Amino acid sequence: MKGLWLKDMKLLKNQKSFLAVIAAISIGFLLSGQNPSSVVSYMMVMCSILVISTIAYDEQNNGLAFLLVLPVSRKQYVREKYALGIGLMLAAIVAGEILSVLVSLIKPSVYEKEGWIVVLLASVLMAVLIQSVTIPIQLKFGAEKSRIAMLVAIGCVALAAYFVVKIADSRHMDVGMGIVQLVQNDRILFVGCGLIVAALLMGVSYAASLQIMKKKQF
Amino acid sequence: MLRLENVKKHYDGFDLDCSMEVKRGFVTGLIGKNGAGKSTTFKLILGLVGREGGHVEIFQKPVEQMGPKEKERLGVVLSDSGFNGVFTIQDLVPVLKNLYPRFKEEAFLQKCRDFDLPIHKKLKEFSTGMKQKLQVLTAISHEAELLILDEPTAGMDVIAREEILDLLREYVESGERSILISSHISGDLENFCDDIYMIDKGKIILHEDTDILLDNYALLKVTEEQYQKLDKTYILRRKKEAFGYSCLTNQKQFYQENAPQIALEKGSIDEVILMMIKGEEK
Repeated sequence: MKGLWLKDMKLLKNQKSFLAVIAAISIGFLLSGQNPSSVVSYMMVMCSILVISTIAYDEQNNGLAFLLVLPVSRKQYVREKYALGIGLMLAAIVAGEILSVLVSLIKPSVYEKEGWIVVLLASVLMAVLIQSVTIPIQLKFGAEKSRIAMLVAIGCVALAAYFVVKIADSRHMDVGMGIVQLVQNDRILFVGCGLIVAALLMGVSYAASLQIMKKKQF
Repeated sequence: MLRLENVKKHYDGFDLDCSMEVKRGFVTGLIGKNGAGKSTTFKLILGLVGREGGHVEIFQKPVEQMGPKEKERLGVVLSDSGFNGVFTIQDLVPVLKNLYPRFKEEAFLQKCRDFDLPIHKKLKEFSTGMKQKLQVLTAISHEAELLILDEPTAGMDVIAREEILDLLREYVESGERSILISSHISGDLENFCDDIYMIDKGKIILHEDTDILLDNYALLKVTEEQYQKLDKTYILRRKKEAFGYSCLTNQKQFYQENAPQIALEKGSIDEVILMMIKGEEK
């Protein structure tokens, strides 16, 4: 799997300009007084998109077929993509925090420790959701068709979220307030619940991707 | 090394039903016109497409059970696929080193230099021939026991083709390694393979040792009258011509001895293919 990992690192090296734009926008946000945690959140979401770009690169000119005749199993390929996704998420957190500290030396900002964990967890969930939806779609439909599939999937997720809130409203439940209360009353439970949801999402997505790859024909 | 038994694959308007074998120490050629089923056969061997019947064995193991360890023993060239164009050869070296424990870095880089492949140039700037050379050099970079090469000389000029074939000859010299190679340039295979399979419309229409193919196969050029009197026991195919018939035989000597008056042309692989595909059964 190390070979695949190295290949993806080389591919990401080719995305230098994309990474530079993310860094520049993040610095801009920080200098304009944005909350550092929202910048970390932005970086995580953008880095999640990079996983998809490595799959798109692999698929160019039927290249995935060639990768699979190298000593790589279909399972290893899928596993490496999810590991890369998690790795990029962690890298975005570290890079975002370092950037926030560095920018705060020039322009001190109010570091909201209270809200930090909530925003960070929400960002992790969002990044996991993006990866969980996009990786199997990209593997199933390839670079061209996946754009349409991705729009449909985003629509479905938005609709699902809308209905959850609607149903909660009809039962006089305030989802936002519920989360705030959970954060205030039991932070450990909140983080635990968030991480379990993230792990579940990724687990289901990984199983789906594995099935897609096993059935993929070249 | 490799065995296919009644392997079946169905696509719209195309059915493949193929049996073949590559023995240890053998260079086996698969030849056929475009769309005959060569690439599909390769993809079935490598498990890149599913099959509807039969079975494929590599290193005496069903292809479904082939994991990374077995793949380390393979060297592959695919005709329509390869490394992404954003890489340079220098980028690929650490990747290959980590994928293949027996990867010979120095020898690989030296061969790239010998074949004028720029180490620091992106592959997308390579010509088709250069990309094919790189694929072949990659396939032989890690002491693979079986090379599976689909059109490895495509896009190469005649000198480069000969150089690559020389390299492959050297690679199998020990007698322990095998090659399955396809090409639509029959000349490449004529002087390189120990045996040749001919495929047409998804079926193997001929399997023969190359020496026998070149020594015993011949074309008889006969008039209508000569054809009527001809002993057709060893005639495989015939084709109507302006002068009468062209007949393909696999017993040249029989006709040399028994019908010395008949014009006889030594069979080339191209002629044999043409007759096997276009000719009718006697």
